[in-house]
Amino acid sequence: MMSFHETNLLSVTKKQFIYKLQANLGILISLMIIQLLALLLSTAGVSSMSVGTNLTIINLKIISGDIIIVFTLIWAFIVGYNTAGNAYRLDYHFVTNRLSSNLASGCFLLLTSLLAGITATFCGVLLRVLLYFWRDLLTTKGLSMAPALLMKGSYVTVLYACLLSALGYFYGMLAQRNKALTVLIPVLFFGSLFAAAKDTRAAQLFRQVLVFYFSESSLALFTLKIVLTVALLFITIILFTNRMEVRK
Amino acid sequence: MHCIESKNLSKTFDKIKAVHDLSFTIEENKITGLVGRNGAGKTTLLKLIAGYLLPTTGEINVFGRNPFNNLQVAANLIFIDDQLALPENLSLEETLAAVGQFYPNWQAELARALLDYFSLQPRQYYANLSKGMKSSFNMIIGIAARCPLTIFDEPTVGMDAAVRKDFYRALLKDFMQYPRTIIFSSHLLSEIEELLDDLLLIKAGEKYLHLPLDELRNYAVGLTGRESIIRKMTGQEQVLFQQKLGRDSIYLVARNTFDQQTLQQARLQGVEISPVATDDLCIYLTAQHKGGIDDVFSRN
Repeated sequence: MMSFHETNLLSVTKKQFIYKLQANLGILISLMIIQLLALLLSTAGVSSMSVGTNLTIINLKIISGDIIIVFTLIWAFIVGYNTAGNAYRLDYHFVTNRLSSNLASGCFLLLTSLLAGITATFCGVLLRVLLYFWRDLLTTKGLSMAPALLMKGSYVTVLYACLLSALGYFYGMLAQRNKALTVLIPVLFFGSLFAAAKDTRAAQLFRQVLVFYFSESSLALFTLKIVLTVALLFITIILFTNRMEVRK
Repeated sequence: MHCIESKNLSKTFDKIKAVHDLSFTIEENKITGLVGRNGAGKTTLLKLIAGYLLPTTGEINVFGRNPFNNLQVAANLIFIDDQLALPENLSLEETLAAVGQFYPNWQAELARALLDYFSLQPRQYYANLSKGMKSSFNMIIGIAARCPLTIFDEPTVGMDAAVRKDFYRALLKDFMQYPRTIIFSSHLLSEIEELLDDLLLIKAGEKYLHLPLDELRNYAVGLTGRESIIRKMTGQEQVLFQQKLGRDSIYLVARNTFDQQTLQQARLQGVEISPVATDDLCIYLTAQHKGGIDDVFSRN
């Protein structure tokens, strides 16, 4: 005779999280490939200029690890989007409800953001090491990095990765609910980018949003902004998916 | 105690009533067969029970709770169909381990032994399995999970007859050791009837019959003989199926409401009385036309 088995949200979320980890180990390889690619591109320099007289020409090349960060953040967004699709496709076959699935996805994205942010920063260090040995450097300004700065860089990158993967997850979940939104959201986003190029009120608002997230000088305030935004995104998803039908 | 209770349950997709005003109860620790034609609403009903879908109207209770988005119900239920999606990067044995952690009663050894018996390689990948082997693997998960409520929706798709037979037996053996509530939807009623305690027959989203299998076996009789004699003994409402056999003889299936005397008399008049196989009976009961496909061709 079988008896009814009581469970709780925490233990189910934990199992779901482990299941997600096992099912998605492959994305770590994609992270490594993306970062390696970005590293190779970075060695070519992000911008260059030439200054010359009749006698001499100076080619100035600025090299930075920004591409690695940008690539990693794009990766974080895609991972967020895919996690939403996978959650919808894979989660509901075994013990879950909408809430535990979203929470497990959140934990999973937190972990991937952590890994992505730290590895991206350390790729920047690797880039510096490579440059030191391979290139003739005009200046070594910015070549060495104080450990505190490195830590801060990792921390900020991790937070940005969290933001981007939460946005990807949010977009992915909206797309699961309504296919029309898959098209509508990018149109609105890129449309607003074009609008931002002109000087309209909407453009100003868009710029303010960017400034709000990307020009914060206080680390504590920046943390608060990201954490609140991510929390807001997840709460919206949880409320939004609570009545969602699955496995239709 | 009731395991599942449904009251006036309806589910509508784009104005089409998939499940319509369905009321029934399923008792604990019984194997119930869910039978109906294609599009009768079987899968929709099972997904309502599993809490994947929201009822349009009416009520469904599983273990006394509303199953929709309910963690406690989900923890006590497993739903196996041919749409099962599993992680692509895990081998079969890794998948079993990953799935097993969700279920407190998971039988790892049984799963492994069944895997071995059905010649599935532990290191194979699910995506590379044939249709029948996928079904076998899904069913292994369904049996080994030992959930208080186990739902199989057409689990034998693609399996060959020998594998199907083995599975019915495996399910029955495991059920006898650990009784639980099982719902089994299948088109192959003749194969699964040995397994079943009860049968729930639905037609166009509505309940048509819900009765123990023993009663179903005596639900109707087949009468073969001269049409005039058989017509005299059966009322129009009794007739479930009829087929002309020649100029004046007929095979007719009727509700078994005859008393012994009537049957005896019919026998003396040369009417052959035969039992009706349950799967044939279900076909007759759910048919739109009493003459079956012949009706289409005899119109001209």
